[in-house]
Amino acid sequence: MAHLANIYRLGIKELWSLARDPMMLVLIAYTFTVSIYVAATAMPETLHKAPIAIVDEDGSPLSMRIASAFYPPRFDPPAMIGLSEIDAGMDAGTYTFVLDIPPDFQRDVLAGRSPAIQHNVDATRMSQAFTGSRFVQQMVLGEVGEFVQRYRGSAPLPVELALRTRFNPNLEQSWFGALMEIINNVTLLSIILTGAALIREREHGTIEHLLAMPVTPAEIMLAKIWSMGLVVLLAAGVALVLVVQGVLRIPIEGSLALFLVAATLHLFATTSLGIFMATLARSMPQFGMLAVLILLPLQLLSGNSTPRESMPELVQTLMLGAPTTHFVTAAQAILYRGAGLDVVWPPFLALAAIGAVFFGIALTRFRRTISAMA
Amino acid sequence: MAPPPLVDSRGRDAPGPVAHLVPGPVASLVGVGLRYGKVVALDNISLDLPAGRMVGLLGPDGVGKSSLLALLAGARAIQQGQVSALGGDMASARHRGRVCPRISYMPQGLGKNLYPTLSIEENLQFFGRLFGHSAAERRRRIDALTASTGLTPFLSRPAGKLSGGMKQKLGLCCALIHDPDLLILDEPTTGVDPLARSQFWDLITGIRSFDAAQDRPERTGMSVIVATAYMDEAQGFDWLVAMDAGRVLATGTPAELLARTGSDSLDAAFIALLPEDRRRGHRAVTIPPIASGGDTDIAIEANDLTMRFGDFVAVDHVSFSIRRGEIFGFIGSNGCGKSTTMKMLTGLLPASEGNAALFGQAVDPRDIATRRRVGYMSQAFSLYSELTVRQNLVLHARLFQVPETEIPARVDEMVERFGLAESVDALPDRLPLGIRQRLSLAVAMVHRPELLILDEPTSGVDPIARDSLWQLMIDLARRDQVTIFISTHFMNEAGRCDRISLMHAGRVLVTDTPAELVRQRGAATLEAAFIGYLEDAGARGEVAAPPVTAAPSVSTIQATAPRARRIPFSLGRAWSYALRETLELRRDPMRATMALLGTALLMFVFGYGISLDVEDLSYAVLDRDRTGLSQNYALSLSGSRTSSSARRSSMTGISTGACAPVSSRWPSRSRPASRATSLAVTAFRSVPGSMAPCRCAPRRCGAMCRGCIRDGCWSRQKSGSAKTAQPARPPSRPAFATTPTCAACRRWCRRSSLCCC
Repeated sequence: MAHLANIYRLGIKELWSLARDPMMLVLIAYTFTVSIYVAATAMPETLHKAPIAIVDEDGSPLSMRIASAFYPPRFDPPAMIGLSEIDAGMDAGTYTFVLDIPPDFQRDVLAGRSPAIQHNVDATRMSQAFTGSRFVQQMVLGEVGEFVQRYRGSAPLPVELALRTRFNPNLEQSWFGALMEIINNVTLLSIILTGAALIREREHGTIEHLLAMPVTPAEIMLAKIWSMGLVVLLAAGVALVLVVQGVLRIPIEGSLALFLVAATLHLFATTSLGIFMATLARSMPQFGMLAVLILLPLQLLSGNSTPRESMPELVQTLMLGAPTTHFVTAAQAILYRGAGLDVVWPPFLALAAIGAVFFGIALTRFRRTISAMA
Repeated sequence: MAPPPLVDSRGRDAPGPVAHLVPGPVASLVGVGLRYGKVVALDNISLDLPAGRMVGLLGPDGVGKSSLLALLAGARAIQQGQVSALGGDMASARHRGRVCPRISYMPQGLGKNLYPTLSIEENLQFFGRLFGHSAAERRRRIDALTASTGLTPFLSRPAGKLSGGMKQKLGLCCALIHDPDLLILDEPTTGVDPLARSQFWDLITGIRSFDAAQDRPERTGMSVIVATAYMDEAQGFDWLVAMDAGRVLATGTPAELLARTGSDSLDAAFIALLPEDRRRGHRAVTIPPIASGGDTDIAIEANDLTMRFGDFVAVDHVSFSIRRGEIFGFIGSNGCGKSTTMKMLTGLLPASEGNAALFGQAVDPRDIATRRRVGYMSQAFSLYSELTVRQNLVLHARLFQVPETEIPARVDEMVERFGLAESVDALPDRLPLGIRQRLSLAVAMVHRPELLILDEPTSGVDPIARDSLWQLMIDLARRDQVTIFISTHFMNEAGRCDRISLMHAGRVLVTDTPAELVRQRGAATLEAAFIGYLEDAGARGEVAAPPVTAAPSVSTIQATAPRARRIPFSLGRAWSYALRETLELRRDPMRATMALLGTALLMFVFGYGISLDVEDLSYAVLDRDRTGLSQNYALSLSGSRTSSSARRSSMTGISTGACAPVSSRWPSRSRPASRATSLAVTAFRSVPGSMAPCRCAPRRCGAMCRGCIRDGCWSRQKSGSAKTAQPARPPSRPAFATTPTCAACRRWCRRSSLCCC
């Protein structure tokens, strides 16, 4: 009973400390409002203002038609260049795509001689080159097809493909971006807040004071975990309701409460991780460095930005030990697909187990190093 | 210890702008103000500092001494007023560029201007390089400086492992290496034991008197400006500036100040100089004698307490016993083991050896109950600056399990007793140091402990606040019978304790009443007695040569050295910094590993783990047609790199399942809420049939489409027995749409029960 009271009081103290720390408050407010809005709305289409150049050696109506098919916002207005400028332009990185339309192209097309267009792609331009080249190909073929058929439209295929996209019918990036940003920020803030709470005590020398009082390390640690976890949980909930549903008008399929339960389990693990990292680092700068090294893999490999299935087997297996993986799985299932507990219990179980292990390790380490901190 | 009165300045004929006056100000300030945000650090100060003198800035922490010194040194931007040093305006960048190499500034904080991981030699080499000395020149200067300070035997020792006194000397060496005209020292001796302190002043006096005695046309004798909080130390300076709250209280020689205030010590003089409203309520500390005999109840008993950190013995077999109601002092320099001993007594640190008992019970770090009988106030302010005074008191009362009903009364009592009524709702950050220390004491007392352990409670506090704090402690001890165990490095405070222990290098040299110690040594003051004990203990051994005799060599070399010129960018300086940074990085394995391994790890993560390719996706096929065509379609899906056959079970599960409504979005059973599948294909127009698709279609059959599918079989590839047939990743992605899975493969698979799965 006395333990619980101590944990409660120390936690309240943490909340006061946080409330009087304007920098941290700004950080929390920013990560759960502006940063989510930005992540949702500013995520650029993969093909945006792609620089393209065309070498028109034909000068026919067909080649002009092709050239006119490329216009903003997907492409910059195509630069019409000479044959000799291709290499220089691409070496300098001025153009990502260069189309070379050979002489007598239109004549050969009309004669059915299947002429070839050279399509040069600068593959160093990451995703722009990957998705763009296929897009360019389609546009050219489409234009040529129309030209040959003399009317717009596509020939009926032998089989019709009825495409049904579930959960995000328009494949809107913002739906994805906003929710993933929340998931990321829950991890980020919980680690930084708890870590900073411990390092702040250490830098102010207050940890020494605490230890001379009738409180145990476990109480100190639990107090930090519950208070910082609560802050992050509240912020995430508010962000989901106000920013995601309110401002961005993104529908949430599943139950908010279930998501918050998942977040609670996740926070248990990440706040423990934050404490653990704070015992390793001797100062705030070191903690920052450590946080970058740990947060980046945790978030990038969790499956929230690229699908887990595409990762190598080894990484997939290793990341099963990370709380983020299970949190992302559960959160996606709940928020996107409206899954209930019957579906998400395995990640819940995994989160609870990982949280327990992390907490145990952090507590052992905290007990061992705390006297050295004072 | 006292520097001899200075010979008249010799700079009369100097060509430089330094000495147009005799003894001309080396620096002067006119109407200087400085503020940090709302806090006024310096308030309209006008002051002339005489050249060639040892000038002392007197005052407690936070009165603006450091700000003033930083302005003089050109280390801080001038906000208001005019500052000139060495004959020019410090606001002008050109003058600063010219003059800064002639100023040496040693900022506050023991060893703060040193690089703790570098050795003495490397530290000195770094500063020498900064001023562009050649290797031979650096060698000569380093040898001379270290010889005169007695650091020569320790050249290869890292600065971080030096004692406080040695750090101070090394700091001085670094400051002197470029032969400055003006030496600015910001509290150089705070936290250093009296012996090291007196040696330090001897060293400076030696150097200065030599300068002054030499016929050195370009020098006026080095001017030294020192800030200090030790009033007794200031006695030996030539000229004093007493400061309080950003203003100058008085200037003059020590004798003048004493005469003006009619007091016998500078401490008393300083108090007398303070404005009336600050002095109000101050009275001299009176110590009623402790009731002797009778009460022999022992509060603390320590036997052979020892603390080791690795090889380093921080506390070496310390024994003492303290009676109930006694004020017991621990006197010694920083790092001599005072704090460590206190931490062992509070149970913060488990002792390596020996035992300690509080109230007859052995100290046990796990024993929560004894902690309730002890109040602890740590070095420096360590309360929650984010909580108000009242919140701090309430929190501590609750944590010490004071009954909830008693808390308001208890807090009010503390507020009243410790005079915190005016600031009860303020944040500690905004309070003056003296009040914060009172709050610390109040917090330590809120649960009415029987024992108070106070670790340097008064360092940095002005004399008035110090006296009032002492009065409070004495009241506690005498009236409430609280045992007080206090550590300090102020000698006049040591005199107020009932008994003191002198500590040095982890050992207790002697324990007795202050008066008895002075009597035993036959010394004039407690400080002299302490120095005597330290010398007996062999602390003198740290100093190889008496400094004064060696000083001439320093100056001779300095006289012959070329003066460093200030150039906007110097490769030499950049090189010097680069060299130092490299050395530091080499000594800091943690940082180096994080930087190197960290980037490698991230590279691996990005390169290996992240792929934007659509690959190995799980998918499901609801085949309600079950013709060759539909199965062909399903197989070609499974062959592409897009999908994974590892999820084959879900595919068969669905394809053999019953008809789902054609309009269904997903077959209800595998509605991918759980993300078992991220792609589902439904073939319509069901035709009854018995052909089931192969359960083990090759993983990459569609991609390679050559050889037997057994070679490509997933499970066998996994076990590693058939590595040869197919590379794990085909070098290029074939277009599966135009290359359908070969019919032979499919037929073989359908027929064969040898199929691996």
